[in-house]
Amino acid sequence: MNDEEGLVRRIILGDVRAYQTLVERYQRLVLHMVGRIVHQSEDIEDVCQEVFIKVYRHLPDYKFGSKLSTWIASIAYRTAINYIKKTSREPVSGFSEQGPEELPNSGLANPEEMLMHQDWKAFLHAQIDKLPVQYRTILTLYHLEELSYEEIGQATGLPEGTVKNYLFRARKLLKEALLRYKNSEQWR
Amino acid sequence: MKEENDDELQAWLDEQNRLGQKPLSPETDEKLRLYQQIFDELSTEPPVGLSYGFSAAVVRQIQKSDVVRRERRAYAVLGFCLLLMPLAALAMQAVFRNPDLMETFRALDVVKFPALFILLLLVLIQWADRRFVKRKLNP
Repeated sequence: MNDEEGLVRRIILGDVRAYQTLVERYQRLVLHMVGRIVHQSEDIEDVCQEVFIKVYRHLPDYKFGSKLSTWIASIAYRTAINYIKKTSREPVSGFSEQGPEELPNSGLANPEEMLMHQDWKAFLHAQIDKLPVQYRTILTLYHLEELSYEEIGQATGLPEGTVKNYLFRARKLLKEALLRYKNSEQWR
Repeated sequence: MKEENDDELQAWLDEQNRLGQKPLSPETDEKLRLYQQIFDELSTEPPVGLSYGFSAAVVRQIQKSDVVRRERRAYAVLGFCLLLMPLAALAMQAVFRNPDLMETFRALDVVKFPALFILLLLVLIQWADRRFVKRKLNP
């Protein structure tokens, strides 16, 4: 029995301290996922709390079939998606495999925005926030949490091929936006 | 580096980054440089964090909801028992072969005041427990 399995078994037997340890171990992962999906900063902590309450309730159903981090990430993803479905009008369904190369609402970077952000990093983060939910989630899980395509697929319920496709497409969109920004900088 | 398409370039950069090699030099291709900048930013931890004591707050929340759930279950059991009581009376009547239902109730009439007193006492204990004890334990 590995450390994680032991921890889960202790929690199921009612050890509250063990659950606190689990929360401390995975709060960063949950925060990154929720933070990328939910834009209202004041609600992020509430959604994270909701995620961990759900994790606790469903822990007896966890069968160690996947990594615990992937299982928690899938709960975080669904909870955050449900939250934005309830509170905003942001579309949460993904693009098709042959979906648009440009994003809705006239693409990523418009000239006004390019003038607004003096710093390319701030500009880039603003563009990331404009990406569709699935793209943002995949970028976070891949780059920040270093999950594999398979693990991201398990967490988001998307096929591995789609995960790879979305990841490459998202980065390409960001590259094109950044290129336009840098070109516009030369003319200022 | 030769002119490559975006997917190949990204896959190559992924591989290089995984190996801990960042292929940036003054003569680096512009496209590659942009991708590397994006990769670096995506791997940077965001500045936002959860409040101090978040894990303790989660555990407290779980404990509170567990108490509520246990109470709810206890009330459900109590309600079920109350429902069972008339059924038990009818069953007793059948066992003792008393054909008159009213006679059973008349027999209960003798103990109505002690029964009512016990019932009220139980309600009072529950109320006092909720009002004075639990509220102090979970402010």
